[in-house]
Amino acid sequence: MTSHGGKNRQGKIHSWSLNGPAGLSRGGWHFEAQMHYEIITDDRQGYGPYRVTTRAYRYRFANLGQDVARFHWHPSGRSTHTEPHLHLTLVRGGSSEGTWDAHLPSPRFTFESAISWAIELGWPAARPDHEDVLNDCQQLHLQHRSWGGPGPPPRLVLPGTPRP
Amino acid sequence: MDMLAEVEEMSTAEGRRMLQGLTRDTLGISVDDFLSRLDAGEYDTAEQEDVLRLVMLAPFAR
Repeated sequence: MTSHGGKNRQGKIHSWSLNGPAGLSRGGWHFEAQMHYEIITDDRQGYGPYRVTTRAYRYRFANLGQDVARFHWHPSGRSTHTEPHLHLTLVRGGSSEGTWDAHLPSPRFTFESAISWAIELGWPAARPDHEDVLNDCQQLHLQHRSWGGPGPPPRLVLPGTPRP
Repeated sequence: MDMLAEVEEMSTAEGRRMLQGLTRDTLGISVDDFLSRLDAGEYDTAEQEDVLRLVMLAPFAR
């Protein structure tokens, strides 16, 4: 779902949000994603005449109501954290001792990379070729983005994670 | 490979209705009050996940 004019209007910060404000829930997991973006002109050969540039992002996934990971980049406003960062919920010693909300500086995360992390952590993938689909979608972004480097975001690989 | 997803565009009126409920539930204020305070720089988006969510949805109401 995009905000009004989000498919073609320049001169405005737009937002898209996964299923409006609802996000997506499946098998005890919950995933939310929003992005601020702007439609801009780009005179570079092979990039324009128009492209979309990201202005902020927020991805969150939780399991059984408990935050697991949150990927943030919100460079405007009062926050002192203007660089991309990652919040991970870490269990202290034993589960009865509560959790830490670890705030970690991170590379720029894509929507696809956040989905990939969610699947690695247990989100039930909807299709067996999800890695190919995510890689293909992300590749187009990596070819055209103006910051964050040409390489893909960090991939999470957990030993022994059950596969869907 | 089928990678198409359906993308719908929300009208500003629909976006305001959506935000109105969320700002009431989350902050106890109207969407107009929320947007005014947001534009005045009153919110530290690093502090509260619920507030950051509203900030990310704010363009739907403009």
